[in-house]
Amino acid sequence: MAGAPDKLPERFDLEKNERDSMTDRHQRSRSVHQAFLVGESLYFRPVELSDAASAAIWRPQPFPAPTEVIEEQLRQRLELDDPDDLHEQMLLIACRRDDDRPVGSVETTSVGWRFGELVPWIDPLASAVERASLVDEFVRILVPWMLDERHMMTVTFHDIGMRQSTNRTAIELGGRLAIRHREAHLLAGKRSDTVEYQFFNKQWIEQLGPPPAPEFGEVKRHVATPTQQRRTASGTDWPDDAVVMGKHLHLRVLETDRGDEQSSIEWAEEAFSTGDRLLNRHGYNHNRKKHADPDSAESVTLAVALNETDEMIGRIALTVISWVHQAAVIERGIFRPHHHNTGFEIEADHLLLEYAFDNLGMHVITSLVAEADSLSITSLTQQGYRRAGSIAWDLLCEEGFCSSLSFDLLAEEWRSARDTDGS
Amino acid sequence: MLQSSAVFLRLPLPADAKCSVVWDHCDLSESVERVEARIARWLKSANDPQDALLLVVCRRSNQRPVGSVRIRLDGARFARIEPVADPRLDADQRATIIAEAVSLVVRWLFEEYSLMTAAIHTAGWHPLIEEALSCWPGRRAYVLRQYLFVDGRYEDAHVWQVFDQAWIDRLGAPPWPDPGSRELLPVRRKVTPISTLSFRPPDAFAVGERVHLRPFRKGEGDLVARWSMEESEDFRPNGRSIHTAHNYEAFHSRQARVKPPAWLRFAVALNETGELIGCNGLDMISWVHRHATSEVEYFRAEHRSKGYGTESGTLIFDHGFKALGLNSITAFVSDRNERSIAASRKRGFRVAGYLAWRTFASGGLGGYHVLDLLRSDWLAEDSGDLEKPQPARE
Repeated sequence: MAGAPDKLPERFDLEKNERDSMTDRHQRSRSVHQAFLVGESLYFRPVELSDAASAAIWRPQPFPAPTEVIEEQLRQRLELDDPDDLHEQMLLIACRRDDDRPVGSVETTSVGWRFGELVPWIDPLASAVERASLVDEFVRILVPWMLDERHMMTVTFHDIGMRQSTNRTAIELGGRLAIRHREAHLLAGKRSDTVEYQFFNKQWIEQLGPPPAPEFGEVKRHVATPTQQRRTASGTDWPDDAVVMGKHLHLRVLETDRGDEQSSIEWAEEAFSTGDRLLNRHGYNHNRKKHADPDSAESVTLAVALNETDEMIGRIALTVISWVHQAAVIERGIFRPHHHNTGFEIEADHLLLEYAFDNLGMHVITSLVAEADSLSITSLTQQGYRRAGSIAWDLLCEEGFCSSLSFDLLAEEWRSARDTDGS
Repeated sequence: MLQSSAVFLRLPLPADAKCSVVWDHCDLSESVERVEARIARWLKSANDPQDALLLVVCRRSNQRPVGSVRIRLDGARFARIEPVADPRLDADQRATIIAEAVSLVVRWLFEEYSLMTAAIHTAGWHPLIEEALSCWPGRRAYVLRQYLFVDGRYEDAHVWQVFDQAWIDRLGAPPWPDPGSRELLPVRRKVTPISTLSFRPPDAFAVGERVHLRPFRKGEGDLVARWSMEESEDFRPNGRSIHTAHNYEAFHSRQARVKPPAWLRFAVALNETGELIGCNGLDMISWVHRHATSEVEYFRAEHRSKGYGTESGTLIFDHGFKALGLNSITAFVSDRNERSIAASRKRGFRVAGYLAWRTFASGGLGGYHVLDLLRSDWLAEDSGDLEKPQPARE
């Protein structure tokens, strides 16, 4: 009679499999000797060229790319002159401790040794439950590291959607909801809010006192100055290069030959002359051109010109355009003080919104302004923007640390105000 | 030549860059310098009358541009004509300009180039355009629902096809085949994409029950090149494809560097072995109008008619609608490929029309069925909010 074999094939050895628990698997993990950025089931490590093969998991893009293209992009990113630069902006890959497989990533940014930003990305194939659990662990590992080891004054953590579990974790770690942009992200076919939680270093709260609380405006709100109905040209009454036209202003494409860049530089020199910064004309010109004419359609800049004289009085731009999520940020500068407070800011903004919503199909536009910039705050509020929170201790100002206030405006809200109130 | 009492058409000039808003087909406003460079490139390389042509439409009264016509000639036989008029004008003014311009262009192409047929792409339907094209035998070839985003809302795109009478006399009337019901069928997905980390190949973007979509891998070009020469079936109007390894790989790398991409291309691989069996993609993506055209190829006969196409189609359409936020996807299916028409209909595609005399094929001239699928139809199944099928608008 044959007896039991001395040794079972490994896959049938249930007892061994029982023993081969998660703890054992952790012992074999790459993270076993890692001293920090390790959590209960995850650990973070710097991105490597070999991660190109799993870019579908950690790269925040819904577009496929062959491995060699991702490797090329990673090389450009990693081959910096000074390794210390890596600390200012880092891409960390989140891996499971039990099998070392990536489940997402986080982009960390540190500004001036003071302000930290964490932008996570979770594997898009994760279920809602898996996603919630991963985000929770991301927060628990990363936020204390930024505050307690890197001694940031404050850290923001970006997330998609409002989940009670993440909210609870944030509160547990002393954080709070700072910014909420409605419907700014497309997740699994549905519009989701993008949110930012802000966390503060306890030492600095003790020293400076509690930071001001963020303010969120009502969704139903009065629009003091809605946009006017869209104007159409009737033959030859519009300048040839006007993209959109209002009562006093039009937005047109930029043209170096016409002195558009010169106007911007002169304005910048005037503005800079009153401050304590020096203007590098060449660099300024180069940067403006780069932003005005990007290769990747991530921003579009237009000149703000008077209808009467065609004089360029400012520049206005949609930046950080996300074509997938149909979201962008508005930036505007009216050059001379005598054009401020004349209603030109609001008219220019409405024209750009018309271009963004009706021509380009954007779904939501957001804006970030310094708390001290009362002119912009009034202008945005009158146009119908909603207060979408604030980032405290974001800027240095005469009073000490000041906040940046955020605003959002949905296309449907802008159209509704136009159709009900705009004459 | 190319002039009426109201407008005339001419080649673009560098000075036209200053008023690109009026005539440019580009969705995003670009600086004068950038458009100047584009015109120079266009004049240097692309403005070959045998290939592609851009003509600027100007008013005769003041010589000012009011629009343009882009013409693509295929085989000195077929023309695709895309007119645009100053978008700042109202719909009637735009239609007047387009009607004038396209009738000049069609007459020119038929009389001087002896083309057989031309397809004219217009946003929305307008009686002026229909009237202008009624000089030639023709018809509305297809209508793509919610295809263009204009003035803050989606409009249908109308494609008219006109034929030269001389060619009809020679060849007989072009066919208008009936591909079956044009009723809109509800989307019926047989496969639900898997959304969990418990099974996920590390480079997969979407996972189904038997196949997944992932990027094309280095080295797989050799396989595709070999398989293309081993192809046993001839079902394409223009015969079997021939691929070279380097070209096939370089193409995927090139597309991946474009931001935002205009062509998303995936490899279709078996879950069990990771083996490559085909490729599918979303081509001609417009991020403003949020539409794309689907394309697919399976490299070996053993993987056709096995349901892999249905499954990989489900994965890519789901990705297009849910991850990319597309509003519509169009498919062009050769009238020689009945198998593909039936499969597209099953997936919820609606027959939008037919483009005749588009290719040479066995038995003479061949055409393409045009089908479209809307995001709202696709997502209705997710929400369990399946509406009663509605008849197509045509």
